[in-house]
Amino acid sequence: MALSLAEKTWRDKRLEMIKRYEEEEKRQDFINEAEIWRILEEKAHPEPAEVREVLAKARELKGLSPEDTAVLINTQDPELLQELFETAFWIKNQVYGNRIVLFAPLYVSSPCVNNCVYCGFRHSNEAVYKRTLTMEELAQEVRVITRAGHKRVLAVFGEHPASDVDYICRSLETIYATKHGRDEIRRVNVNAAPMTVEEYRQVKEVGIGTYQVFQETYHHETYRRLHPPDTLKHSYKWRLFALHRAQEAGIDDVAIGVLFGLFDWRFEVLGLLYHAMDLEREFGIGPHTISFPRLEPALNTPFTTNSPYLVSDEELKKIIAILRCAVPYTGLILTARENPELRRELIRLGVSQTDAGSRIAVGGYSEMEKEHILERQQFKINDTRSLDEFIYDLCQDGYIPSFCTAGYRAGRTGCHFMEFAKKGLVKNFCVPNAILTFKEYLLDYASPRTRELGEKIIEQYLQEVEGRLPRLAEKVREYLARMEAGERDLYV
Amino acid sequence: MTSTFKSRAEQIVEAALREKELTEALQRAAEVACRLFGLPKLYFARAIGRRLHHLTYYGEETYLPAVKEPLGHGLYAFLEGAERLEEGAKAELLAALRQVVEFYADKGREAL
Repeated sequence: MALSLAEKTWRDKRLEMIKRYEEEEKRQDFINEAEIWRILEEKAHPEPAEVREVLAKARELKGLSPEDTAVLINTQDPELLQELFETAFWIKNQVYGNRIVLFAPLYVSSPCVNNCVYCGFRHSNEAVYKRTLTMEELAQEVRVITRAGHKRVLAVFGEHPASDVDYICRSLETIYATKHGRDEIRRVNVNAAPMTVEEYRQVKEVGIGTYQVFQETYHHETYRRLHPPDTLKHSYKWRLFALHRAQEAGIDDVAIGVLFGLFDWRFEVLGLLYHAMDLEREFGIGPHTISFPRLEPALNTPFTTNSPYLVSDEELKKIIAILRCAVPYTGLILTARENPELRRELIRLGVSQTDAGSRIAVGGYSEMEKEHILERQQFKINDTRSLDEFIYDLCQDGYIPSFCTAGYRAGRTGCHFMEFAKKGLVKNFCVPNAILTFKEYLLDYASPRTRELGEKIIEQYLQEVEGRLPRLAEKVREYLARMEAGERDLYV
Repeated sequence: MTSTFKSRAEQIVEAALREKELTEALQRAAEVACRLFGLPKLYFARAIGRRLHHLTYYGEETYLPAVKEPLGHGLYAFLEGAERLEEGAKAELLAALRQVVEFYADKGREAL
């Protein structure tokens, strides 16, 4: 299917703008492929003592160099891998505590002028139905999501004239404004195509939470091959510095990611690390979160099953644990692409955020409360548990679910947040706010069995806070009593 | 004879207005305010929609809820340990901080 005249005109105008940007951008591409391969080669056969030295360094919570990270990447010994996994879990608990932040992905629009080889929503894929929500339809989606108990969403937009920056801004305003009783979204994170600094300023003005752009692959040649010429996504540089431009515009919570399965995962992990390092170098603020989705089957998209770089479950475990060691302050996001059994294992390796009760078709929450339809989705999701079922399982494993959105409402954003995260102190906010927001969930949305189990979890974590910060625990107990009496949205 | 006594509010304003930009002025104000009022921490944020965007701070974190106070022009102060302030002190402190914000608004030194 060819682009319409309107789509083509819009795309061509943006292409011109991107070309001008490419000529004028002074920043140097920080992905030095020869350097990455050299490091991977040099550390190809690490001795056990070197691996253990790197793991000890990781426990200092200062992050790892590319060389140290390469040591972990090339570790094969099962015993050492077990030590890596234990280190990752320890680091995650040191920084964030044993809480898992929950969110709902909200696909707002799927039409896209790009033609990425691996994407079910690519323009030429007629097998997948695409649509753009009206503001009324979007509000209906938000009502369904919030009725389940969610307080934060990740709003996802296709790159298309129908979902340009003005549409994105209107969407954010609509999401925030849609309230029903105690049901509301308190933080809207955004996944949208790269923009100009001026466009980012507009999105910032409507209260964006975290802004995420995934490079998909850091390997230049692969990137160019999978994102055809004359599409907006073809420009590597425009995408590589998308988050730098967002920071320039004052959006200081930014998120990076790779679509694992497009290229060699070892290269991609170092690519993510170099990206984090460059953001830190220029702005003093690294990525708020890192995502590591794996390529999943999508309708009429053979690349998703044929790629020579598909990542195994065991490799994914290593990826997550290594990222936790290398960038300890960052949030690590696991998605419902993975099945429940694997998710349970992966969460133990340093994951701090995940989605639950997800629908990834546009309009999927309102129209498909009970089913998932591949003809309308970008890819296949493998965990179809409801939010309440997911929470129950999390509690059974001893985690405390969190709907916390306090940070950006208490002025703890950007460098302020990073200061706490880098010192391993952000858990002093995360755990109390997990307790408070989970209590809200138990009071307003939980099933009886989740409520019963959840109250025990809350008491357990309260005692943990009491042991470290007794005055804070006293405050949390006071807030819990006020919530029992009917107050909501209390946080520290 | 002219009195050389300066109130705490005056000292905050005087120190802050020596700075060129609002963020630096607030940082300086926070430093002086924490010393004079015995606050453990004072920080500032700018409201952008529902987001309170961190600007600057001074002091040591208490991990207790901060008191949020509007300063005008979409700016907020977060006072930690505000319960320790004697009667009237909070109002005096906030008046000083608002004066600092107003100064920069009037001068248009930095977009508010």
